[in-house]
Amino acid sequence: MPHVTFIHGIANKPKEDELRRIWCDSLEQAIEPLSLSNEGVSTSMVYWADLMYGDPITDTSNFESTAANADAAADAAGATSIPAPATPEEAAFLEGMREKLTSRDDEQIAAAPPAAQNAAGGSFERIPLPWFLKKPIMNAFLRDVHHYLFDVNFAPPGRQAVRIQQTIRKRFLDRVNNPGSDGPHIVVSHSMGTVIAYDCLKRVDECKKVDGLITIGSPLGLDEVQDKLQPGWSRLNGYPHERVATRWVNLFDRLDPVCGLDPQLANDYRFSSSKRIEDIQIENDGAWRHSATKYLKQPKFRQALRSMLGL
Amino acid sequence: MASDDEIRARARALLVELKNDAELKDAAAASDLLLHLRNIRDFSLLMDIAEAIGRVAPAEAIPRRLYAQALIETGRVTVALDVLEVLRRRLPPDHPEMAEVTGLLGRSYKKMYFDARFRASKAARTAMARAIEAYRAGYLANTVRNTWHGVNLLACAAHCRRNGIDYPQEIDVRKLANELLITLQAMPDAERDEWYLATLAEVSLGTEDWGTIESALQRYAVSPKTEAFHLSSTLRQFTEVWNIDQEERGAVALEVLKVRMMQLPASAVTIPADSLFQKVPTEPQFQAVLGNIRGTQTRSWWIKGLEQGLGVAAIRQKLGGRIGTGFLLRSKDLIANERSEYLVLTNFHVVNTAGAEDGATPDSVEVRFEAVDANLSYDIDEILCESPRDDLDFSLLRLKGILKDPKPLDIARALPVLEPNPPQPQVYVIGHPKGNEQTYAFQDNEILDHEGPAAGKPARPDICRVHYHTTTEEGNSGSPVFNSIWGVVALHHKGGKLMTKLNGKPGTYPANEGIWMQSIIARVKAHV
Repeated sequence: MPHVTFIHGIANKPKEDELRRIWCDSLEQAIEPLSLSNEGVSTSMVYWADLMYGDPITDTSNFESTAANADAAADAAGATSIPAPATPEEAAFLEGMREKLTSRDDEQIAAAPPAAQNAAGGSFERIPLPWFLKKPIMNAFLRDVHHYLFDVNFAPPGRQAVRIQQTIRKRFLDRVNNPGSDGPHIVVSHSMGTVIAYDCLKRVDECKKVDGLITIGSPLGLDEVQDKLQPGWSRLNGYPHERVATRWVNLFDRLDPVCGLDPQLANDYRFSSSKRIEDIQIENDGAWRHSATKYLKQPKFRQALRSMLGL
Repeated sequence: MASDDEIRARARALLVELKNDAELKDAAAASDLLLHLRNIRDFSLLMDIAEAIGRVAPAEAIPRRLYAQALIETGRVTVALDVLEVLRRRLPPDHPEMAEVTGLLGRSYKKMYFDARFRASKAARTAMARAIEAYRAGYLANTVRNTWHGVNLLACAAHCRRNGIDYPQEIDVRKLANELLITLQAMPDAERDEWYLATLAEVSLGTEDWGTIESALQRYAVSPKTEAFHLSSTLRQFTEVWNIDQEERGAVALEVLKVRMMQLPASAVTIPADSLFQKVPTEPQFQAVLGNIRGTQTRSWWIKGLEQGLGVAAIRQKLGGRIGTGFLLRSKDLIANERSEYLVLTNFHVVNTAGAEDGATPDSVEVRFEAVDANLSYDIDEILCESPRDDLDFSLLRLKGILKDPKPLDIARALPVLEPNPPQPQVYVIGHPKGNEQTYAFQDNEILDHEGPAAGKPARPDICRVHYHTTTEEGNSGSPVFNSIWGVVALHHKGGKLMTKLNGKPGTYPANEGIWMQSIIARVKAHV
């Protein structure tokens, strides 16, 4: 029986089981649907939003919708702020990442028009969104990736703080090492989930081998991220061949702000100097191109997953 | 939220407690439990407990009212009226239960009217007059809070006006509709329950504002709060009371809602075999009710579902009626290296070589694909392979002659994967219910359990069974059981209220049972 392990990306999310069902439903909502359940493919979700955010999203009616006019529709849920760096290395990381996302300074961002007035006027820089959405997205992205890569001791208010990287790694291993089936096992990761998946598959000895890896909307092309994945990552031998038995397929949208600056990974994660990753460009709907569900609805995604599962 | 099984277990424990202790220790908890039983529609257990409470705590109003509601739901309307009239006399006018009691009185009389074969009869008209009187009293007691009384008053008055039945002329239908609309629109979001959008659409029928009707129905149909039970009630109300199927725009909206209902667990529709595709609304009509993307997807899903009906056959006694269902398959999907032909699969207990176990003999029956040609039957040439009722319960038939427009069904490779938490995946049964000539019954059921991979532990490794919820339709022996993308996963063969649970789990439950197609295929390959 084949199995797919999902791992989600930045910002707050619905509860684990609900998020997994939303991802599966996205695969079914197409003219040529892929129904994993009906194909006998089991699924699980590596869930970590609860480590970073308070209560999960309960109203999922607009979750990752095409409207992109609400925070839950555009990976901006959770009301985060950019963390204060504890070391010069962290400061350099945050500054480098921030420069990739915007050329505006804090004062210019603060002076941006409020939400209601700016709904149509935000198509500037790389992210064609109004600032009332763009700012929380940027905050969520920087905060979540920073906390993981620097293994920050953190918890939402009212909870016991934990080491973020260690805890998420453990959750990844719990899921990936125990798929509960014996067929092909594919990891499907999105956004920061691709960083976590790569980190574990390349750098964690206890992690078991999987048959294939799919990354969507991945920031793994950013220099700042690659630097923090050493030791393990190198441009000439960064492919996680130790634990990815066959293919790594990477889907990107050039207007996805998380991956758009350096969307192709084959050149940066070579296997013995050779390109191995299959980079596939797609075009998502709407202004906000980063949503996982939009990637999952892409025919090229379903084709890749089908073939990797042997369906 | 507790599962249905947990609710029933708690209810049975309370029943024992009431009988042993002869006192009600926690009235609020008991009422809450009865409400849960009502919501899962286990009226039999609800009435047992309400009866037991009535004996030890007769003053408790909520259990009494729910007892009456269960009586209405199970068709014992006059007994319900007796219970409700006593409650109405006994409770003070400002008692919180009074609104529910007057509403249920209205509902009882309304049901008497709509159940009547001759609605022009004196008894029926009297029932309608009393329904209007009860709903009106409830509505006037609090026009802001008791909107459901108001909506029913509106529906009944509009029905009377449309059908020439006397009703109090001081009721101005349009004015009442506008009044209700204002109240509904002012209702805070937090107070809007799962019926809100349906109510909004219904009130808008009173003002004949089709834009608002369709917009409210669209949001209602796709809302995560809307279950098949809600849609079924709305369809009944809109058809029976408002007769909107008589208007073209209304008839289209109803058809789309019906299809949407089939995507939700626990629903069923019956379609005449000779008009399987006739009532399918156009793509723009689907989009008008369900939105562009969902409308298109839902329509193509439903058309594919209807196409499956072309491969489903009635097994009929020659010169007699139906005795079961069968379905067409490609021989290459069942038998390795076999010549290319079509075969029909049905239950052993429907037809078998010896006519054993209540089954008919092959020469006494004929097979008819009613949606393809209602007058064309095929005789059985031979039974290629069969397995008795207590084994795999199937017979694989080769038909005589060349089939007209054969539409074989696709077989799914796998069983749907069970979820760790409800809801479970859905399956669809298409069959020919007994007694309903020339009709197809499409039933949608939630899987309860199965013995397939990865967690299944079949009692016999060569027989893998699937359990799914029961519905009211009977006579589906030999029907195909489809997954949600119309691949056949199982052969339906029996159902019952006390089916032993699968995978070594203790206890019984009401369930239907199918045999996994891959178990049947393995047996056929080994024997043919």
